[in-house]
Amino acid sequence: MWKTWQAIWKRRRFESDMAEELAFHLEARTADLQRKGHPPAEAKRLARLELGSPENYKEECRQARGLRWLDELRGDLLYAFRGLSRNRAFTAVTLITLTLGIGANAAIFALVNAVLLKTLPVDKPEQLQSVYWVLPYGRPTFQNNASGSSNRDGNLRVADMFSYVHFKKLRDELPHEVELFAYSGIDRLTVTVNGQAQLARGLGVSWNYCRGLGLRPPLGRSFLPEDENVDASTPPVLLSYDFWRTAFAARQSIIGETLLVGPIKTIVVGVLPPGFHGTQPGEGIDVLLPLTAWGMEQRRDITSPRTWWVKMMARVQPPYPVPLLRSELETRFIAQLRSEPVPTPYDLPTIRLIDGSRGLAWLRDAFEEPLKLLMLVAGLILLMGAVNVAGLLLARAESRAAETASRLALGADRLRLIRQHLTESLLLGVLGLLGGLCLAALLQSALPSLLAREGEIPLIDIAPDARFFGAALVATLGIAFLFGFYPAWKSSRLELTTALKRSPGPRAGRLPLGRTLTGIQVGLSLLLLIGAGTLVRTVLNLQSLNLGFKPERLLIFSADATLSGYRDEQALTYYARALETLAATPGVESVAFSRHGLLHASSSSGEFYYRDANSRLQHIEDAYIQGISPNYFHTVGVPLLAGRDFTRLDDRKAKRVALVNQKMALLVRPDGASPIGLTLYQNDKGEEPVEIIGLVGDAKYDSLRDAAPATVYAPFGQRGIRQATFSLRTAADPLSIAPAIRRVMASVDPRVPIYGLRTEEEQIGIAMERERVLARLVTGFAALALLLAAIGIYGVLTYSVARRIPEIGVRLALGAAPERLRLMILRESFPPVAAGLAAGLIAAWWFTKLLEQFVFGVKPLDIWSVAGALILLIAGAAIAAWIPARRASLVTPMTALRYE
Amino acid sequence: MPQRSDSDAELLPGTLDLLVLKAVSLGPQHGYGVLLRIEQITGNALKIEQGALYPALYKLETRGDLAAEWGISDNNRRAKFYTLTPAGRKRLREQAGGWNRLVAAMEAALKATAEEL
Repeated sequence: MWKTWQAIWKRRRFESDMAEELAFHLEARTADLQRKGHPPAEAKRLARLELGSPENYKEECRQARGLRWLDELRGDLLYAFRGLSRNRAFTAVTLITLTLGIGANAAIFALVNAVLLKTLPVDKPEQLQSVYWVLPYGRPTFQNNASGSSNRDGNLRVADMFSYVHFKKLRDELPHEVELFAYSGIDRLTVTVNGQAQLARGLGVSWNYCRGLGLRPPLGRSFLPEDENVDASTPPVLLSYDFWRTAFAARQSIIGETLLVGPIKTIVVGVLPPGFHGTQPGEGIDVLLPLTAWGMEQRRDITSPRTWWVKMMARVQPPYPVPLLRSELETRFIAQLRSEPVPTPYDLPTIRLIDGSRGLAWLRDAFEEPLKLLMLVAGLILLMGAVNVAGLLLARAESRAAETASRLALGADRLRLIRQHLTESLLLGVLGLLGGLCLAALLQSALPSLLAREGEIPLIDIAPDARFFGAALVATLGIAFLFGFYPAWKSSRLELTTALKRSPGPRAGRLPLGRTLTGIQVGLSLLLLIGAGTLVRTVLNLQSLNLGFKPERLLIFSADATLSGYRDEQALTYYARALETLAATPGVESVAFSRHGLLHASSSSGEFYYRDANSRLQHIEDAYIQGISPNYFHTVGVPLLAGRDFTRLDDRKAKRVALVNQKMALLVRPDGASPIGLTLYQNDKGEEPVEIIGLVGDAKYDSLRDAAPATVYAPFGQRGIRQATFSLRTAADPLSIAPAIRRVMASVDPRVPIYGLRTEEEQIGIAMERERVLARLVTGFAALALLLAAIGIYGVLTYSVARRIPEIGVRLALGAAPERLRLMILRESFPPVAAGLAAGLIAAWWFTKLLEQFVFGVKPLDIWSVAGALILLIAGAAIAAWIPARRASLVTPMTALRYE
Repeated sequence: MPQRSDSDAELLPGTLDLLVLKAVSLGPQHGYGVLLRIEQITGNALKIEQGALYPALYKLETRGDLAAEWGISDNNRRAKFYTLTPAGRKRLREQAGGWNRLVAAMEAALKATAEEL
């Protein structure tokens, strides 16, 4: 290999050396011959004669040096370029097809890469391990107060939260090869910049978080052990690079300044490196506080071993084995749990370590399946494109048969011919790749919004990396080989005698492979069209669901007064004042708030018991609770069926009351009798009674797909509230009063920022974002597939018509009617289309099965989707076939004769 | 294929490489010198196609059996001189051994008579 490269670099030297060497030979030989008595001119001639043709030997020398392939490659490339520029229509169609196919794949792969494959932008991410505990599902746990995520894995529960106390002890006990660090969940908080409160995303971290991740702040310092002291009066704060740039205009002097984070006065000590967005890809962070300060800000009992709220990660330096770390953690953790006094016995957990190189991410969990599906669909599109290109190449190879035959007859090497064709395919592939990459780059900025959740676009690093380019190149070369090889191989295996006869017989125009390919394309587009139909129907189903409330003219926004330092009673007063002010705003018909917004993917579940007919205490499974203000049901449009609504008098001093929905009423009164007057208890000892004072209709709560859950509505005045989502029924277009609402809320208290200001209808759109995005993409892909299939049909028939013009001429001369000719050509498209439809229908059954988890209220092979897809496809095929058929009927005997 | 006269022995395929290696093993030579030396050591019995010599030389050089260097010839001209590399020496030994075995076997085969069988 090295020799070959050397040979290429020293090409020029090599040629001149070779010439000189042969010249020397001739000279020496001539001299010798002269010495033997030949006259000078004769000697020279003889010497030349003996040596033979120098070019011949030079060529053999070059080949000996491994240079021939280079010459041939150059020749092949030139030939391919010439061929492509001569055949513009072919080149354009091929390149557009490849650009669309490769572009779609590159765009989707960029997402797959960013969400599923990329590692954290930290030092040696492969050394990171995330720590989880595992218990059999449904077993009692040992926490009092937990905040974190827990997932079900088979019959196991896998959770990521620990107590700060446990973490601290474990960190101290582990050997020095292991850096155990901890961080909290990301939460909203307010940061006061230039006297203006703004919402930011905050994270609490142990002091060694930066050291564990290998982050070196480009400005200032990271945290120190003493920063984790509980009694620090002004805790330090780290800013993310992006937040430093946007909120502080990248001001270097920020270090050492005080910053109000929530109610806490902090000192800015450093800025995190650019590109780092925490260990949960997709969720950005703005400020980092020490875990202790963060815990206190969130009013967590950080000294209690039963308050579980920190996540742990470990960096394991290589010779130290990861399994050893796991067993070490487990023994020490269990020893700690055993030493603590607990009220009720519980099972002891085991520890599980999960590769932490890519961080932990809801993004990955939520989008792994849809992304894989999209990748598959994009792959199918590319395959279809390749099939089209193969068809075109094949058609062209046949039309070039005479040329190929002459070349073969003149002694061209078959292998060389194949290589020449493949070079052309590769050239097409590489050009398509360039186009595809440009297309993907255009799509790049729009891509992350596909993964939007709750209207927030995740922060993902979609920039291409080596893996992206590698995959694009490999896929392109693979596909180029795929579509190039068969036509190349086929054209090199011509039967010389038949090919050299100029006029092809009628059989020659049939191109059986082309039809098979058409069938495959028809099948693929049918499958995608049916999939698209199913997804579109899902979106329609979700849109027409009975919500139980009226989303029209409903404006919503959220606020959290506790983030700005309001405590309990103060917060209640704030919210009550906000309600009054909003109600007096022109354009607002009615206003109320609730603890959780409607369809905001957040909810609270409540523990409720009731006394049955035998006065035995019964537990209610799966009851949801919603804290609300008076006038809530009237505002959001949930009907009050019996009893009364809350009033402002239902506060902490009054008797505890609640309203229930019909589902809940059926749980406590299975006989269907009115639940009003019944008492609910909030623990299993029959304490904390709550009287049911009203019955309301069932309404969706947190999720669009789930049926309305059994819900208990409690007055906010009796439950207390942190965050609230306001709902305003407006007289006209809700968005028209949005600016006024911002002003009103700022007048109530400028330190409390509002967020998520939008209409409830927009919120519903957000709740079905994934389905809508998927439907849009698959529909786009299906349209592309349909277009490709139509081009395929058109191409095959056009080619066939061109080949059959002499035959058509003869038929015309013999008196065939144009309609008959049209039908003859049209009929050619029937078998492949019919076969493709049958195969596509079978494949679509499998495909819609795959889609099942994204589908709502649509069965696999849904009849409407199938019918719609069939109609579209048949119409598309008919149009594509009609054009060449018409052309055939317009042939006159004269043009046909001229063709001969 | 070039024409050959009947009186010259036909060069068996693969033997040119062996002859070149042998010729160069007797001392560094330029291309024309290699030709002359082969003619000399074969007693002019083998007809060497002059042009075929160069592809053979280039092949052996690329393979690493020969090393080439530009030097000055006897008549004060710049010429490319070939020397045998250790790899070339090894190949020469191996090929010579193979050749000798082939010759011995052929000889034995051609001497065989009906009685000996």
